This record gives sequence, structure tokens and C-alpha cells, in this order.
Amino acid sequence: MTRLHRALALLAAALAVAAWHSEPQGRVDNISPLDLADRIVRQDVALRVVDVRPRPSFDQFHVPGATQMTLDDLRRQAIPLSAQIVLYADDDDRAMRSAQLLRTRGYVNVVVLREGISAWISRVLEPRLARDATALERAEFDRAAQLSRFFGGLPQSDVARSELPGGAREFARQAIAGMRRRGC
Amino acid sequence: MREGKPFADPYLAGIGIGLALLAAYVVTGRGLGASGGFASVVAAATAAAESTERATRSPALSPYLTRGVASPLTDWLVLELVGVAIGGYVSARLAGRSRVVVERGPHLSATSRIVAAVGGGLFMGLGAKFARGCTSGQALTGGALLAAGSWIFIATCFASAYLLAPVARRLWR
Amino acid sequence: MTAPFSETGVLGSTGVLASAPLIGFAFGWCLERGGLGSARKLTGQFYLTDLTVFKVMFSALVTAMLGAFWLDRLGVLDLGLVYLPETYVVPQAIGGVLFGVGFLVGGLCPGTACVAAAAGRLDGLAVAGGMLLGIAAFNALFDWIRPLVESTALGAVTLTQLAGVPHGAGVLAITVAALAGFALASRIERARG
Repeated sequence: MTRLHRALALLAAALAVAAWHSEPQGRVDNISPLDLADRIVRQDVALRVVDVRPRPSFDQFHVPGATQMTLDDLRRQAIPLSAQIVLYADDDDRAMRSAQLLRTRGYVNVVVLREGISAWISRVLEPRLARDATALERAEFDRAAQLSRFFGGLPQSDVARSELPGGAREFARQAIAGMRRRGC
Repeated sequence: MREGKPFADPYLAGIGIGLALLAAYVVTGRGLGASGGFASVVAAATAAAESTERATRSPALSPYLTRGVASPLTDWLVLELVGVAIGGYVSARLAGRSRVVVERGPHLSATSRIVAAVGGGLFMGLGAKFARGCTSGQALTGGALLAAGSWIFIATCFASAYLLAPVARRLWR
Repeated sequence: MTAPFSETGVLGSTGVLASAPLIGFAFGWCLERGGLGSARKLTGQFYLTDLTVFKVMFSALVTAMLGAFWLDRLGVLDLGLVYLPETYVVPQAIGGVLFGVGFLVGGLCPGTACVAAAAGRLDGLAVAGGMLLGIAAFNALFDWIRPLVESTALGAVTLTQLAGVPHGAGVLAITVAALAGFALASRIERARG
């Protein structure tokens, strides 16, 4: 190992540690898809839903009432400080980083929709109830179904337990594919 | 005894490749993908041999033929491969390492080597299609972006080669 | 964000296309300089006598990984617009196994085969030819193997997303593993003499 190698290794290590450190430390709170749906239905005035995915994805499908913002917009655009911001993306990394960005600008009322658009589709638009559901699951499904119909979704009861979104990511992907075929 | 100049530091060579890959991300938003270039050559050849129209209808070939016998992406990959060849040639020339030879293990005839090379290439062609890439397209391009499938490819590729190495000893040792 | 240039319009399509041979040249040059245009040197990897492949590949990977991460962080490159290869668990595992076998037997991979051929190595030409045959075979078989090829799709996901950790954590883990690997590689090469 020559001195050059050592220096390069040190540089790489430093950049990597800095990379890890630059990620959002401290919790950014989450909001559940149903709670978000609820607030949209109630026309919560302070609510600002922000989609931080690329424009083409947003144009194809987005949460009703959401606005799209790029990372540049997040850095520069003026948003009322009193706004209650809900961010979502395709992946939580991106959403979390956007949330952190806003927090460094002084916005404290920022939460993230975990699993983003996939969660919206699988929990709000196409909620599912297992055949052998418990009373608690039934109650949650009733709430979801009601919200779902408001958004033109398709609740499904009487589903095999193996087809519930335990693997929400996999299922949601199929849901998105299904929507594309139906031409949403 | 080695002809030509000694090889460069592998780490520096690697950093150079990494910077080239980074340039690809920055300019095109995609990576290096050598096998994609090969695949598009096959697609173009198939389109020429059968008919472009029939080839375009084939689900395996259509991604490479969005514009008749090519597509914007494959143009880039093929041109990239041309650059790879030129870069390799110039470097070899300047280092005195350019010569026409069948490089092979000490106990292998040239013919056996060529047969093995074609066979190896065949497996790699199949493997690269299954994996949607090769060492440059998946391992490097996807690996640097932490793509899960790329790392699956890296792990299985190296594991299978290491496991088979004792059996293939005669080829190289 | 100014990059990727093809998305932000900094370079027109001609400019983007012109970059291909330039970037390819750098790639080919570095591969040859590192000695990866030589099948004998390459396969030393699998007999633990010459670990150049590992060193080159992973220093390239770490360089591009750290570079991409920080260009994105600094607002220059939008990683969200960079194509992330999709994950197909079983097909890519199968592909990896097949490719590994071919790599060992052929001694060169697609990129290095081009470099080898350009430097006059006829075996490089043979590998390239074999690759074209392999791809053609795949295309011919496609209708039969299609369900397998398209199975177990997870979409464009990263290791860190699957693990539920931030991207930077993955970057650190891979860098540390690579550096440890380099140290180990030196040790192995010295031990083998």
C-alpha cells in the first residue's frame, strides 16, 4: 500500500462517512395513508400535499390535490410557514431527504407518507379485507372503504389472507400496473 | 517475461473507469452497459436477416428496434463500444502490448482456447440477457447505484466462477 | 439541477450521442491500462494469484457511487432521473450464475473482450462472437422462457430501500467493505507470492 493508496482510501472513507452522516438524523414523523385521505376529504385548509417524484410520474398519477415540487423548488419556493406539509415519493429515501431539506429551511410541520404513492394506492384506493378478518380489521376496512369510494377507489372484501398487502411494495406495483392497463 | 510496458496501478485504472461511469450518469442519465451494445447488434442483424417489421414484433427484440434497425439508447451503447475498442487499441499500441495472438493458458492449444472462448461467450450472452446486463451494465452501473438486482448479479456471478474454478483449472493453469 | 444533461437539455441529442465514443474511449483505455484486456491476467482472480479484477471493479464502483451520491447531494445531478436497473430476483441470479461460468471459461467479459480484440487478441474476438450467439439463442428461446425471465420482479429498488435504511448508510457499508476487501486482496497476493 503506497502513500497514494492510503490517501485515496482515507478520502473514500471520509466521503462515505460524510454520506452516512448527511442523511436525516432524528425522526421525521409519518402519516398513514388513511389519515391523509381523511384530511383531504375534510378539506383541511392548512394541508399541503407535495409530490417529490419526477414530473412524468406525477402527470401519470398523483394523490388528488397534490402539487409537484422538484428539489430546487423545495429549496427555493415560498410556502406558508403555517402549512401542514405532507411529502410523498416512490421511495422513502427521497421523501425523507425532501423533508429534511424543508426542516433546514425552518418548516417544522412536515411529515412523510411512508411508502408514498404505493401506500396510497394499496391502502386507500384498493383496500383489502381478508375473509377471516378480525373485528378490528373489519372496522379499519370499513373506514378505508368509505374513504376509498370518495376517491373512486375499489375496496375488496373477501380476499385470501395471502393476498393482503403484507408485501405492500410488491402488491402496489401490481396495482399500478393494473391501473395503467385500465387507463387511469 | 512480459512484452510491453508494465500495467498501470489497478486502483487508478478503476478510479478512471469510475469517473467515466460518473460522466455517463451526468450526461445521459444511464450507465455503461456493454452487453446492451452487443444485444442491439444482434437485433439489427436479425432485423436485416428476417425483416425489420417481423423483428420489431418480437418481444425480445423490439426494445432495440424502436426506430427501424436501431433506437436512441442502442445508438449510444454501440458508439460507446466503438470508443471502448479504440481506447483499448490506442492504449495497447502506446504500451507496446498490441499483437495478434491467441492468449491462452500454458497447457492449452490455440484451437481449444478459441472453442472455450466461444463457449464462454455463449454462456455470458445468455447470462447477460437473463440479468439485463453484464459486469459493466449491472455490476458497475447498477452496483454503484445500490440496485438490489445488480448486487444479486455480482454475488452470483463471482460465486459461480469461484466455485467452478478448480474444475476449469486446465484452461488457465 | 444541471444533470443528467440529456434530461435537463444542457446537451442536445447530438451532444449526448457524441459523448458515447468519448466515454467509451476512457473506459477502454483504463481497462487496457489496468491489464484487463488479458484473459490470463483476468482469470488470475479466480485462482487468487492476481486480484486485479476485484481491485479495478470495486474501485470503479466506489468512485462512481461516492461521486453520484455527492453530486446529487450538492444539487448538481438529480439521481431521481438516473436510470436505476430493475430487480428481477430469480432471473438475475440465474444470469449471474451463467455469466460467471462464461466469464471463467471465456476469460473475458463483454467490455474487456472488445479491448482484447482491439489489442489483437483473437480469443477476444471469439468471446465477442460467442456472446452474439448467446444473445441470439436467448432471443430464439424467448417465447418459451419468457415467464421465467420476467418472474420475481421487484421493480427499481435499492438494497437500502429493501433494508429500510437511508441511502448514505449503504454507501458507507459498501465503501468500508470495499476498502477491507482491498486490504485483504493485498494480503492474499503477497501470501501467494
